[in-house]
Amino acid sequence: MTSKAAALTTRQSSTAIPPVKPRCKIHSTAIIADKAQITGSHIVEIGENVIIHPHARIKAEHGNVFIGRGCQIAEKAVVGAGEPTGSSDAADMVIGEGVSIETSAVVEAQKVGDYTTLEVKSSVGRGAVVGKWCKVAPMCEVREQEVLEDYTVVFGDGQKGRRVDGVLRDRKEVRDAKLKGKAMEMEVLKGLIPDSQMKWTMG
Amino acid sequence: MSRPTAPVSRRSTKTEYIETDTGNKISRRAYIEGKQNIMLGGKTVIMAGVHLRGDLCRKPEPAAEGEKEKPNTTAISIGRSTVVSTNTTVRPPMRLHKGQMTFIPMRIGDNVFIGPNSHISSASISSHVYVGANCVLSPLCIVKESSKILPNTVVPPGMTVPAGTVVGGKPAKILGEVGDGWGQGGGGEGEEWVEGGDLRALVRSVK
Repeated sequence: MTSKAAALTTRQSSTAIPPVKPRCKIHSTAIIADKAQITGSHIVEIGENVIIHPHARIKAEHGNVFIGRGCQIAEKAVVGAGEPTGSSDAADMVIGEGVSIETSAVVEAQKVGDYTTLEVKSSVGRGAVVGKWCKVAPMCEVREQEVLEDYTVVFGDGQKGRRVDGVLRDRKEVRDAKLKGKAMEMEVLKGLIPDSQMKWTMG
Repeated sequence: MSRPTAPVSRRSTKTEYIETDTGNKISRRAYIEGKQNIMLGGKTVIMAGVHLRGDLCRKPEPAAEGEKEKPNTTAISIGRSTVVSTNTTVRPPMRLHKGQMTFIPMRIGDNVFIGPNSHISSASISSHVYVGANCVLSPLCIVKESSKILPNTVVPPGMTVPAGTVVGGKPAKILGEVGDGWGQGGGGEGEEWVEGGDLRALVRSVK
């Protein structure tokens, strides 16, 4: 009995820093891949039908992270506020419903609206507020504290590429079709990515 | 008196690359999902930090009663002497096919060079293509043979890059042709490798 306890303590001491486990609230229908990383000590809340791909990172070091239902976070994407730069402000982060965050995107926004797509390698600066149905094209950047109104598309080189997607705004059937596509996508992904949310919810 | 020399064989230490029977060199630090769905043609290099998403494949239909289970579906197939540089992501694209969302198996040809930090989600890349660093090849784009994609290019979804052209910009535009003699040589012993040419020399130099 004593030897067993000793073995346990040695194993614990061998790890350099005891990992701080975030306080996770994960809905039972969410899929968190085994190799996804959730770090930090703040609260991480993940809604229904969320899919988090392997090697995606959710950082809750500097604030709470709330992820709405039906979101998708791809590999190498980093979600969560970074090191605070100025005065200590609350760096909570709210991601709405049905948001897709693609490969290598870096999201430090304060709020991301429903059904927004953040494409490959895009970045959203700290404290930015992104509206609903926005799209940030590949390798584009949303600056710190910037506010994007609903249906904005960010594109091109530099900072000038901003326009409002009128078709998406005015026509509900287009939005419905997009939603249908997204739902089908999620359905397929659900069958392909094995879930290991137990890793985060147990203990 | 000489001291006993330290064991010379550096083979005992772990090498960066694992070499397969067909000469593929795969970094130990590559992140490979669903390896049963990935085909490598031989003499292909997968560098450190590369993400290969082989798990995103067409879902095999459940075998009917009495039928044999179908063999694995291929999600990513890469040809011979192709080099995938560091921190690149290769992820098969998804589209609506016969009323169902499916992942399209992606095909990368022979002697293709893919630069570091790129994202590849194209439907197909033909042979002798050169892709620069930090490129994004959006879902379902098609890259034809002997074309060159400049660094920091975003190829939009569904674009076809014609054979023998140079493309660049965000979004990608055709900027010119590669010209005659592009990609000639590079295959022989002791020769330097050239863009769009035979990459065997480069593959050999990777250790």
